[in-house]
Amino acid sequence: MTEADDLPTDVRALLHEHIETYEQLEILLLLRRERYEEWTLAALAARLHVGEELVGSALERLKSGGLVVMTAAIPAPRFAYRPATPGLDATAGRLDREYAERPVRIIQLMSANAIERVRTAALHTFADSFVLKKKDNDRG
Amino acid sequence: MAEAVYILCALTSILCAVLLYRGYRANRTRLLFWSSLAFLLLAINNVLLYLDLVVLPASVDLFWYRTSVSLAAMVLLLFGLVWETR
Amino acid sequence: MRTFTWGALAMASLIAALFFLRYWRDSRERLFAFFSLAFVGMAVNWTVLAIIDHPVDEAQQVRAYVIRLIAFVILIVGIIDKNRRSGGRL
Repeated sequence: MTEADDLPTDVRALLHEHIETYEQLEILLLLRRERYEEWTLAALAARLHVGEELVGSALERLKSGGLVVMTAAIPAPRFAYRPATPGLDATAGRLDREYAERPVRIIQLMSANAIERVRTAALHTFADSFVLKKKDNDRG
Repeated sequence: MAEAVYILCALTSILCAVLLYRGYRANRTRLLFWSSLAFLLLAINNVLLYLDLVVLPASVDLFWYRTSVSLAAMVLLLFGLVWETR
Repeated sequence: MRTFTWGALAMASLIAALFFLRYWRDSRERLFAFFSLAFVGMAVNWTVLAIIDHPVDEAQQVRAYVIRLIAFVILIVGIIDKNRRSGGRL
């Protein structure tokens, strides 16, 4: 399937590195479109008709990808779109446009990435084991 | 200068072995098991290297001890890499 | 006999490097590229040791081991790079 080949390379890289699920894609694009808002898990879950656990794990992945930050913790965690670099913002913008114009192509690429991830899961586990986790609650 | 190189070899290889072992403790995949074992042996090899060339007198030659440890390391690593093939 | 063992080690290292190269191609995970390079370095280290074959001149031997040191440093750089990319503590 070479239909995804004319997608810009940075968009393909963003999808490959940081967007694993449909929920992550929808949440990222929503947070970006309304970037001056701060969202709770409940608000996102209601808006997108998705379970809160899925929302939570999607936000975690987007956070570690440098696309989203937690802006408040009390009384409930709130999240907003804060790209780590302007380049990342530009890429996300392109992704938004591509998804609006040719959604099937994006979904196809995400499926292909998902299949490849399963195939190389053992390799990624090997590589991920070298990441020394930051000490949040337990000692890494 | 020579001592610095040998001791750094020992230290860096120990660091690699530790990181791989921690990785194995976190995720018990087969590739990690054989790799961490292999790097542990490479670390031992480098410690023996340091002992052999810097600490111990010239009359003592640890060459065959060191080399058999390296050979064991590489055999285990290759075993893991080959068997891991999917 | 020593040359034989160095040759075996160099060959084994090269094969390991090839495996890591394939893992890099399969998973596009940059850490494997570092692993591959590190094992190429180890292969070079053992090859050089075989070529110089225990000289009296220690400087030559030290240079061979500098290559080994570089190989380990490449690996550590790769691990740090992986941590930077994945939000780890390094």
